[in-house]
Amino acid sequence: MKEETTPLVGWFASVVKVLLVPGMTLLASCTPQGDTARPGTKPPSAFLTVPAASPLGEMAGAAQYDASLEISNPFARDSRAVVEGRRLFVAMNCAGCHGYDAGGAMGPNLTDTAWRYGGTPGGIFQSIHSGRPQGMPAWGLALPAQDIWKIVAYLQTLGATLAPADYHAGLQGDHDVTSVAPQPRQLLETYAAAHVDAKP
Amino acid sequence: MACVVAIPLSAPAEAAESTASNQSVNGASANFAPGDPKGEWRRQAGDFANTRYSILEQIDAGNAARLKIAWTFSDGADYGHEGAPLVVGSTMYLVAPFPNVAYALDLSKPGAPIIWSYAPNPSPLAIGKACCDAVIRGWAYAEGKLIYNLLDDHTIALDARTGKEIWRTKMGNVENGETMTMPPFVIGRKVFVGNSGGELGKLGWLAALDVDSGREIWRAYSAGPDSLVKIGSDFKPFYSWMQGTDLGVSTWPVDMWKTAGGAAWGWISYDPQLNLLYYGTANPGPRVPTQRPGLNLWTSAMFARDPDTGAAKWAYSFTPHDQWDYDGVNENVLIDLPINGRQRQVLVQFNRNAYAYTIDRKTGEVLVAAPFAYQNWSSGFDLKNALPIVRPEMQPQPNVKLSHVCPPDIGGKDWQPAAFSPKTGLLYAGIFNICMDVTDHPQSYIPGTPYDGMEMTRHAAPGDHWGEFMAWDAARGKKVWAIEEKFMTMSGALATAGNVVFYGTVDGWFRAVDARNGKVLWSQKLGSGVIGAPMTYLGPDGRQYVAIYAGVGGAAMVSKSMKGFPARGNTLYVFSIDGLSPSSGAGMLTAEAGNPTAQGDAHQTGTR
Amino acid sequence: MRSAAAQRFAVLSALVTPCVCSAGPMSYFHTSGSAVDPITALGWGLGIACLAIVALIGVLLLAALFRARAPKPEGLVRTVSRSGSGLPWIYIGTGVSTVVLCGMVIWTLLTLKLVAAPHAATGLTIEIRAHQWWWEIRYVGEPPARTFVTANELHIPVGTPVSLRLIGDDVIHSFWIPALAGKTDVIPGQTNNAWIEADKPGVYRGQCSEYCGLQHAHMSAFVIAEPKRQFEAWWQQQLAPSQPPRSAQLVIGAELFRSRCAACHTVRGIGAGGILGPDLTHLMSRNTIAAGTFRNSPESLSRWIANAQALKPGSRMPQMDLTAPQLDAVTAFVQTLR
Repeated sequence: MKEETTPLVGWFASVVKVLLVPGMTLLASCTPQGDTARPGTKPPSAFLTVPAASPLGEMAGAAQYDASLEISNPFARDSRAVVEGRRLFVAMNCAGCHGYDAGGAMGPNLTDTAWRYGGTPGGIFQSIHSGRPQGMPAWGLALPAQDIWKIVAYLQTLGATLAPADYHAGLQGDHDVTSVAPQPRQLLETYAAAHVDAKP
Repeated sequence: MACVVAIPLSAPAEAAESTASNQSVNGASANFAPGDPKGEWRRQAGDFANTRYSILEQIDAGNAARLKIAWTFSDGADYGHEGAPLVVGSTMYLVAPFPNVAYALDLSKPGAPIIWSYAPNPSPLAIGKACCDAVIRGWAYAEGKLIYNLLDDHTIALDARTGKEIWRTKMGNVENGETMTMPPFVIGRKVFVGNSGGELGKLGWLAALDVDSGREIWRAYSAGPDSLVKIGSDFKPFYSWMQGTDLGVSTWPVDMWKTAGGAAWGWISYDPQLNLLYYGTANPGPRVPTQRPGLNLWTSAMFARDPDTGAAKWAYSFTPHDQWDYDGVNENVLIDLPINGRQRQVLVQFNRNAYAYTIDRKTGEVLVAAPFAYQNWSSGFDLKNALPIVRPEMQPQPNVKLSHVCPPDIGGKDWQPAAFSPKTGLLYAGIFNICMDVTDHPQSYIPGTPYDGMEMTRHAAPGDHWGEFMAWDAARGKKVWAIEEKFMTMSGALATAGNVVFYGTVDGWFRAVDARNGKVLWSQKLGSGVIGAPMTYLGPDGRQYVAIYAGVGGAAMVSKSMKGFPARGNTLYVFSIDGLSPSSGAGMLTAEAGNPTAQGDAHQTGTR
Repeated sequence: MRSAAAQRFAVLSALVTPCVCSAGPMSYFHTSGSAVDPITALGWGLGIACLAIVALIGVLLLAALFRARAPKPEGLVRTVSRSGSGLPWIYIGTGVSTVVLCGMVIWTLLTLKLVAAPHAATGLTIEIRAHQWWWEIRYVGEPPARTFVTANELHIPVGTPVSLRLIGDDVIHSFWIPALAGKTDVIPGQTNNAWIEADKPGVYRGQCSEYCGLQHAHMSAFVIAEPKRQFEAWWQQQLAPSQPPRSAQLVIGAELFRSRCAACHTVRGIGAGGILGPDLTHLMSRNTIAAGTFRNSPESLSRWIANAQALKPGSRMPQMDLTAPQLDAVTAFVQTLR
């Protein structure tokens, strides 16, 4: 199926293109998903909400790459999301490459402070969403943005990510691991202890 | 450091030591075809039979202690160095791991300068698809060409004289998790290559390419209908449980053979008299056995095939339904030896499952199967049906941690090849003494990601040492002597007519051992861990040299958290008696400069 | 006073009667399988016996209450004395109770033995994995190539005992098809064995009967019992891979499925191999979706794919963020999975 010949594929591709930043900003600002009606279909009933096809466009006045690197994770302090992120980390075969302890195997160690493509939540989101050249697959189609953020939330509990505000410090090589809050990990452990279904 | 362990019932070794003559303990011999010119090393294992035996005897048990470094060569590549150099005439051929830069070195000149180098520029995507480091396990020389596999599923042939690329054949799609790491194997005008990617659910295959054009002649898969596996009317497996139609389909849950694994990433050997080539297939996918009830043929198995047509003659599955990732890819060493008074043409495989198999290579009958390393997954071996007796409690169950399974996924011995000496009749191999705690996680098949599911931690088996180098009597299935090593012994072995056996360790020691009794004659600490295979050649100056790569990586990285584990490296070390060579001495200013290496702008690169 | 009590009784019976006495899909009073019939008989038997005993004791009690005593003699102090035959009542009562109770125990034990294992060897083993909130069903075939995976709807041949291996995944669930067998818990890290047999064709509804989280109520299972030939045909049909897409929209739908859905769902034939959600290779051969929550219709499929979180909040199926044409293409594609 050739892209030029099929309008559906075109729509599909355009969503791929614009999903990243709007998806991130949408969640980062905790905007609820709208009940916007889909064009050409019946209005959705009360229990059927379908998100609009990303009407947000490019972010104004900022280079998209840098700005997104400084977005904070809307799920960073959500222990339930952390548990869900760990579950996805195993279920989506991330653990197969990065290790079940995220300590690295086929893929890089995610528990140390070495981040080829940036260790801020936004940078990690981009790595998961769009993939990276040395074999990291792009998950932006398979996983909704909120699920990617949950995986990022889990990785943030491993203690080696950069706080969004420390993006420039990271660029300058000032990676103070003690400033990376270990709190979420405690959150995870507390949560896991309290919930039987928290088993990753 | 290393200590020789006297194995009970090792009388033959002592006898060998006491008598000056080279007495084979069991009358074993081998066919060293194709009989390359003396002193050259034209194929990874030295010969078709995979003996890794050299008739050179300048270096012997008497003078091995005087070995010293003659010269070294670094290729700058970061990943595990698992191959052995080839020497053809006065040229040495090397191929680095990813990005797979090839070098030709002129041994006839001081310093062994670079004649040419070639950067084929494989896709970096391949790094993240290779299960166990972006390694290369070897390369081949044939008809004036250097032939090797790129990690991104291309087989290329270079003009051995100029380094120009002659052909490049795409063998697979790296995006879906297929890679190529194995050493091509040449018989006549055909080169045989196989894939890696069993951990990513890629169906394994072995293919024959035309040496001159790179055109694919045949391809045989490791699972699927008989037509894909190239099983025809003359396929005669010895045991009834492997007889039937389309077993590569019917021994899997519906359609699961399509993601069966069974990659052919190991060694190939060839018997010119029987005209059969032998190779093994890797683990079934996913590695979680409860997801794939059935025998899962033809994974963790080996095939004997007609190299001309690819037709399978017989097959044997070492670990049917392989619950522990034991594979079947280890080298098959073809030797002839008397068993129970009858001369047999056999092959010997030290399988990852810790059993050493002596198999009739004409029929596939298992003659001897005995453990060579510590194992607890089986309670014995049913020789009548050639099936290991599995202990049910050692089979992993989903989401349940199973402790102390021995050997672990990387086996009692991994792919690191053994050597055979006709002088002693023994095989020599670096083996492991490791166990694992394993938890299975049922896996989704997502193309390009691991189809794997084994969460593992490895630890030393009883004895608290991770490695061992041993001599093995394949006729009786007995260990004759063994040297304990604190770290993994993951290098290949080399046996020579001088009764010296060479091997290296993951912590970077390279040793020469008396083939008859396991006495360590000489050791040298190198710059990185050794996972390559030693080779020996006669230089243009008439001296015998021994060469070994130090560049740790690959599966040895499972022990990277051990205290003292070395950094990665990329240096070829070449040794001679007293370190004498035209590459060192007073002055040397007249040494001729070679061509620049394939770094930066001044190199030949691929067309892509 | 009297009318209020009657009203209360009427309301109560109206509530209770349909639940326990009607032949509804979840009725355990009308069973039809040898794994459960002895239990039903026992239930009825014990119930009737208990009611009879209650009635008998009631009658005796009333008789004792109203039995006329001799009039009190004037001016005398009444002395309590046993004048004869009272004691045998106690002996007889105790004796009868013992016999009846022993009979009940023996009957119960015999029933337990009867339902513990099938009377004949089972020709079929089905593995059922309970997930939040659906049932993964694997038919274990011989040769292994007859092994396949489906979800939420079990087909079984009539008149043949079927072994069930119940495997826990996340939390404790309980597998219960009231008309075919008693409840068996499904416990993570453990395999529990059960069996069912249907002696007449039909659709038998079941339900997770151990609270397992938010959507516990929407975790139904169906057993479809059919004649052996029909069952074999169904099995054969389930082994087939999906048909290749035949139109431009279906090609796009399949491609979208591969990129958006395949990490969680299997569709054999297009290389989709996820195991987190139900195997959809033959989705359209099932009557319901989302573990019996909705009828399997194009409308509910489309709504479900668009935003499952609005329909079954908390389920693992995420909100998919598909455009309208994408949604149509995927919905059209999954409808070809027959």
